[in-house]
Amino acid sequence: MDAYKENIDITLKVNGIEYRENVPANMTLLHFLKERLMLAGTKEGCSIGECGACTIIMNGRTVTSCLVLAVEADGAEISTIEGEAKDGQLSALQKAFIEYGGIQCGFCTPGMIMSARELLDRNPNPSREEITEAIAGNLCRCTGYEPIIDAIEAVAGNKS
Amino acid sequence: MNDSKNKYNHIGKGYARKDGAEKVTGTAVYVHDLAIQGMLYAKTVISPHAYARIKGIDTGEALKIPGVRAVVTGKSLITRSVYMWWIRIYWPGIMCATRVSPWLLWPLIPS
Repeated sequence: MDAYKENIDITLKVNGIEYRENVPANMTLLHFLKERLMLAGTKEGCSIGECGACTIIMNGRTVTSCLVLAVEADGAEISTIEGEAKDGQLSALQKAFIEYGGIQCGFCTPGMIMSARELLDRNPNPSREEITEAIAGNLCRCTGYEPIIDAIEAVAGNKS
Repeated sequence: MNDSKNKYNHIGKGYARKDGAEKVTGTAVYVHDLAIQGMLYAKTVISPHAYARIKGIDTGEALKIPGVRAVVTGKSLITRSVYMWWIRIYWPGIMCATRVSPWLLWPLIPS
């Protein structure tokens, strides 16, 4: 029996909602979120952990969900971009991204915001260098990064 | 100059992106996330060599995989496409039925 073809039961919490699912052992967390939970906000760029478009927060730390298997997330608490706005209200971070022009094509944005969210949760007053380091794993081919760093800096110390 | 803000309706003023909210919430729809009824998935297989003669492409094994609907090679384009000449000139890569980079047209192709 090929182990990767087995289906395994997992229980995990995504954006505060608990899910019980039966998933193939070889399914990535990214595909689980996109295809099973229909949370299409998380993006698939390179599928090999280089671009950061699929960044999510798992148990308080950012991970590239393309490199995590859904079965590894059994019992985990996960936040995705869909959980960032609360009660239909954009978070301060999201508003700043719009205001400072930190979005162009928008493909890196969900991952960028998750990396920034994790940084701000861990360190509410990061320096510009710390912000740069926090988003080092997220590639953006449009903005040149400066407006993104500006947006995160604007929210730092002024948390929603 | 300093009264340009009053003089013009739009010039000198900043505007938020119309699609900003969609993009920061992850609700913006990208082609990647579209699901259309009856949609097929394709995978490209590219040449492992920069320049080579293609003696043959054996699609037999691929076609045997359950669920595979078609395997398209340069050969299928040559016989079927009415845009064959355009494809031949602008996208010679697609026309690789017999060799990678056919007919040495590449010096004439921009980029």
